[in-house]
Amino acid sequence: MFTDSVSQESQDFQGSQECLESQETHAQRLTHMRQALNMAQEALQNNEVPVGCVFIHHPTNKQVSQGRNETNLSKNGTRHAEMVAIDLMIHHLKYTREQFAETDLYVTVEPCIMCAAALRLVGVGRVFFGCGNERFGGCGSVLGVHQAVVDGSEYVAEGGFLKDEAVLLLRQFYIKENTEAPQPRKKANRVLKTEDLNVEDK
Amino acid sequence: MCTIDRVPIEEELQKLTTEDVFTAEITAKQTSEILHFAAKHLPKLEGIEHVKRILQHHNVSLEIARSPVPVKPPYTKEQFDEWKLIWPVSFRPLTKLRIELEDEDRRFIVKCLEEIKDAKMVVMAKHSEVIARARDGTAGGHPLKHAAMCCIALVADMEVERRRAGVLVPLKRPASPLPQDPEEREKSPQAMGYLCEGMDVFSTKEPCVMCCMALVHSRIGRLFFLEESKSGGISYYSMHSLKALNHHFTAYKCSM
Repeated sequence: MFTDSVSQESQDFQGSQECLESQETHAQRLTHMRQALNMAQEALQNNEVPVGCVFIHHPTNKQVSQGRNETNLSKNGTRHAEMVAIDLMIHHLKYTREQFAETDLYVTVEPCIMCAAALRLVGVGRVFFGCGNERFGGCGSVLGVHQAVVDGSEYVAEGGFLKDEAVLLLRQFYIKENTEAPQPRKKANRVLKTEDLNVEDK
Repeated sequence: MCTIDRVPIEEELQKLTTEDVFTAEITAKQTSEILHFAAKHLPKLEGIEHVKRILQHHNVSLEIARSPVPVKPPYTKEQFDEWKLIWPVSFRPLTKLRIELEDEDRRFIVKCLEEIKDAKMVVMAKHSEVIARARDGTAGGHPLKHAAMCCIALVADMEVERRRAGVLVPLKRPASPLPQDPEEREKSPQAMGYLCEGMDVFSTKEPCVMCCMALVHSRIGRLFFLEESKSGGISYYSMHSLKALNHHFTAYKCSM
């Protein structure tokens, strides 16, 4: 479902002038996604579902906010990385709709339906994500909220950026027992699977 | 005058879709013998268990043919009446869809609807007791502070506080009846919850897509709303009953 446009892009344009430019953008996107992955890593260390994000002000290429999942800490199932980061922008930076339109989200996992709708309501610029979210995804996997005819404004969402790194973090989390779940499952015999992932330092 | 109408789930709104199956004409006399043979030797009608083996009609030609049958089982009487004309199907309405509200429950619902009807707000209740109230907070400059989001946050803060107080141990659902005394009840471990599991939510306006998904994430039990919204999560996406999601709730469209 998600085009791996990242590697595609850099291969297609190799050697040309356009290539340099698109490779630079590509490199920048990966840098931003690594920051998002760092946030996800922090979530994992705190026993939260490892999803992390950063918001990048596009004209200046500056990171303006970051967030990671904190649903277990807050006992609030809506405290996803994106919601946490948006709150920071509104409370501390007094972010306006105009500023949101110039700002892109980089998030390790496809935004869920709630976050996908929230991103419309604030009027985000573009959304770049790592792996898809088959259970809750709101940017194409379960619903296509980003392009739907509902409140807020449409945006472009593109997936596949460092997706294997994002998947690996999720697997590292789900192999542990989630004691917060209504019926925690015993997972003592589970083994972390990585052969199918293309990541550095497995 | 108050009406409380359950909003149909995704399946109940399904239009007829068909797929072709192989059929053969037989004479009426052979029916029981062939049905017996089919039960014993033919593969089960996997995925289309609602489709009956036999269609009765009068012009027998003894030919093997392809005939369309409804792909999905009917969930409503209306679907059944329409779809059975294509090919005989069985109709077993889901028990979870035959919900009658009890008088006491109904009185509580009406009381809550009275409270919210003139204010843009959301009220959450558990075991017929209101535990949180929130108004829309977007006027303060935060476009995501819809009443439902604020109410979910309130419930979460209460939960954090209760756990900090250290009186409670996580419990899936009440193992024994709740104490009568309100103060005792508040402190009892049974009152403890996982997010907003099983709670009733009363909302003046139909929650938007963001809020509906927040209610799914929070595992609520029932949603009651007064003003329908075309771009709302229930009207636009049937988000209370999306099969792809891991939690569903019952939604009621109400009017006072």
